[in-house]
Amino acid sequence: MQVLTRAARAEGPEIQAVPAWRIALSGVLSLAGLGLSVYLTVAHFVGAGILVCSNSGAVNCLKVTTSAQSHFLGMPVAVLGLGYWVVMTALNSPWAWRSADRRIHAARLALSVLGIGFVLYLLSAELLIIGAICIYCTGVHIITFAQLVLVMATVPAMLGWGRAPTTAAGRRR
Amino acid sequence: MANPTGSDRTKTDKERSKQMSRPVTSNQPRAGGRPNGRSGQGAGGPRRSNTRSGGPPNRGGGGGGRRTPSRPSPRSPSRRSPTALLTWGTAALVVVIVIVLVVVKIVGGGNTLSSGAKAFQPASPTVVAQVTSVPASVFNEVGITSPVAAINPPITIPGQKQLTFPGPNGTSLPGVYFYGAEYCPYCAAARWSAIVALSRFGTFKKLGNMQSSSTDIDPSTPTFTFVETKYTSPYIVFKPEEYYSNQVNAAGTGYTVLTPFTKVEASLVDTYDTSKYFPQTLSEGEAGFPFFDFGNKLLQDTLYDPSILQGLTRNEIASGLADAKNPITQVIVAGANYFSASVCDIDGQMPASVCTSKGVTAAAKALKQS
Repeated sequence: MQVLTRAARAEGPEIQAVPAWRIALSGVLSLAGLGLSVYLTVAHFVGAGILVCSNSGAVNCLKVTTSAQSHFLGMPVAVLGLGYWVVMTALNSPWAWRSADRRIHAARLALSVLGIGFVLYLLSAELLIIGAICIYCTGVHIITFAQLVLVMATVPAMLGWGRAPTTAAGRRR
Repeated sequence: MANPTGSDRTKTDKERSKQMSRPVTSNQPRAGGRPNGRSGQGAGGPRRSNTRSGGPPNRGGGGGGRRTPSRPSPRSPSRRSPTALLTWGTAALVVVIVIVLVVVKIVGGGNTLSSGAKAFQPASPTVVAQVTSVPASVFNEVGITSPVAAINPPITIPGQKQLTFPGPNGTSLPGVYFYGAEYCPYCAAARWSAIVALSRFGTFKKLGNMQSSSTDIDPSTPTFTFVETKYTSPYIVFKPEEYYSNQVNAAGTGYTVLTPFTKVEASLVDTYDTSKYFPQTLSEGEAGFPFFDFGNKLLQDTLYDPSILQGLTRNEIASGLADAKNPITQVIVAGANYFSASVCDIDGQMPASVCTSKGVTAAAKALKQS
């Protein structure tokens, strides 16, 4: 008699395993994003003067981090970024990647898309409104983009989206 | 009757079970390509196969024993396509949006939309050269007085913790802080002397053309802006702050903010740009432009009356700086000698060629007597 696991009984195609290097890379990206976010959040509360960054010309962290656009809906963008990366770090942990709960993987994908959308908003604010960019913010933007590519290349496939459903017998969990 | 077959199947099942028990992160491709959709018979297990690993897709059992009778699948070559398309399509979309933003920024001329400030206009190299290389003989000949305007020397405030800023290579150097505004005519006047003086200790880059507000007193006084200026010196760190532009804000209630304070700068202004040190010009709770802080040891507000620059162009003022007899030059250079003496006071009298010069020693002497 074949015994189906709980996950195998779940609806939808089975969750495919993810190569270890992708899990590791997502962890590294998340920790890098988290580190930069912590730095920017500390700078927000202590004073942007602690940022080791040019304060004149096109690269002007002070101008960016103290601009009107440094708040979004009344919340400091630095704090929003910190919250985002805390959640993403959890979602990109090995345990989360190996979870059989499809909602975790869907949340990772959704947050990655949301993140890049917010990055594009912030980038447009920097270029078109503030007139300067912040290298640390740009670092976070690049990490967000890399994470999006990684997640887009991984999560839809692992969730079996875009292919015919298969029987999930034999799944490990 | 079923023994051989049953034994084989049992063995195969065990091997399959082992494969299924592999860590899910294993990256080892399996024979047989993609799962064939039959429970318990897909040799590919939970992992998808690497179709780029060579050989035609779904080619059967591979080089080993034939374990999985795979069916040819016309869909296999396109297995990666939906994911790849989604991934690279999304990435391309993001890149295209970023490129569009950069192009809009460039085509738009680099103007900021909300600050209200005009685009940065670099000062002409000729003017910059004239302002930043005033002959030493002019400093010495002019000294610290002018027949056309009174020069207000910096005030000395002993007993304060020295102001330092991070310098290159992690060093800490005596700090000179300027708090000004582009609209402010007194700042416009003082900048001439500041640039002339500080050029003896370091190098300015990206000085911009500026004039004070056209609607304030001494309108449109020609000057420079420090908004994008970079100053390098082996002796000091100069941090200029142009707090306001010379453009009235949309509400008409003041000027648009160019560069908000850092915490350190706010502390300097709150502590030293006050009526305690400038009782003749500031009331309780007020701060004023311009404000120079030389290492928390010497402070300067208004240097001289900007009205003497009225009617002159930036080029005319700059071109006269090599002439010690020019009355405007005398005002600017006299102020510059005071600024030079102030810097010498906080940087250990370096460089000696400047700090021991006649004009600077005269200013230093006057500062000690004041």
